[in-house]
Amino acid sequence: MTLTLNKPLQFFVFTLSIFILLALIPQQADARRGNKKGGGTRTSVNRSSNKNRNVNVNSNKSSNTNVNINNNRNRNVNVDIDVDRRGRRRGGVWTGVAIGVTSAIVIGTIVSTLPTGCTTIIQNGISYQQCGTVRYQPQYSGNNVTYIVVK
Amino acid sequence: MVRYLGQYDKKSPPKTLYLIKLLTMRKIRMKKKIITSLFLLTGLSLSSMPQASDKNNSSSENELVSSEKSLALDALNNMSGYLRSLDKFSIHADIYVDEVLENGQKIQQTRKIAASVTPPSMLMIQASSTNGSNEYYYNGDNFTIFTPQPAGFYATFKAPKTIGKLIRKAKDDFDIDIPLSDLFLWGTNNDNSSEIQEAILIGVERVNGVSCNHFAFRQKDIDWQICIQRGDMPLPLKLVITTKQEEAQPQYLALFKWDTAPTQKDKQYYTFIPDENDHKIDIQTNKKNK
Repeated sequence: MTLTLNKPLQFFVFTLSIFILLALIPQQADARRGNKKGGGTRTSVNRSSNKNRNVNVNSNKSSNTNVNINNNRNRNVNVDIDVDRRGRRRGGVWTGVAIGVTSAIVIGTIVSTLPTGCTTIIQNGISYQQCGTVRYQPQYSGNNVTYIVVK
Repeated sequence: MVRYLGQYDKKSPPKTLYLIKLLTMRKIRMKKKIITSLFLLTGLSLSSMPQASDKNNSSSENELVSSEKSLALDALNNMSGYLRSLDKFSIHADIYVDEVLENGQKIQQTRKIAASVTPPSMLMIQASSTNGSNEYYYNGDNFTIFTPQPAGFYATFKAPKTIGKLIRKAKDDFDIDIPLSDLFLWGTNNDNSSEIQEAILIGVERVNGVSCNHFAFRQKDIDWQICIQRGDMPLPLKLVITTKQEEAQPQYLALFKWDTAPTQKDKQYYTFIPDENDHKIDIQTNKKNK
């Protein structure tokens, strides 16, 4: 009797913990809220061309400025549930889940800002920004300077 | 001597009386509306009298709307013509632009712009904001965009012969927006005034202590407002653009201070000369438009 009651209870608690975890994950999405949406504000009455404007397409791409940061997250969730059924039964389940988020620096990644402590180096007449072990090549994307990871 | 709207345009008759008439008519129109609605409220709407007055009202209203639109468009043309007649000018502009965050929140960004212009082929603009600053040099042969921070980066391309064509090439080929582009495009082939659907006169305003006529326009994608200096120098003093396509309806606001008699600048002033710490970098091209 005890076992047959516990099985569905454990399943329930496990499902509940998954829900709690899922509720916690969107923190990342929340953090992104602060990001600019591609600049949709018109700044001129007269369009210089009839072509569709695609302003800030590139800066959208580069909105990930966390290139050099490793996010390792460990989350432990403890769920204790007391069930009153013919006296007091205690069904406790411990669930431990670790989420590891690791972002690596990928060559070709475009960023709009550099980390601090970069130096300018010139190789074969081309200017680069060396930031630690990562080398960026600056370029104009529209009116803004963006940096593409080359090494 | 007090000068009035439209006086710069020698061809058109003085519009002072017309303007007064227009504003008076608008008041009458509003009174009529109130009276009509009172009739409706008191249950007299079935009588023939208000219907007749409605008919007269709508025809005179249409007339008024179209004459008000043409008045506003005339003022805009007048301003454009005056802008294109200047052989040199410099501008200081305070710009406030809404940025829309992903959650729909509007954030207002401030930019300051200083521009020196010798039409039709020389232009130098310094633009600064919290995100950094850019300089734009155009001497009739080449165009250079220069970013002093964090390290002096610049890129150059061979430019067409006029500012209007430069604005187009910069946008089409390199996705670069030349700041204050409207000031160089009004009265040229790239003037989009034909897209204006509605135009009204709001009244007289003061911008930075200067009296100006405030107009409001509606187009498909944008609503915009302009305040044009009164008198014989019809310069735009204020420009507001509301982007209707965006849900948050972000705005662009520009306030201009003009100098139409700046000191003469030679070609060298408009030519970018890098110093030893500046670095030439690549510029992304709009391949899909090629």
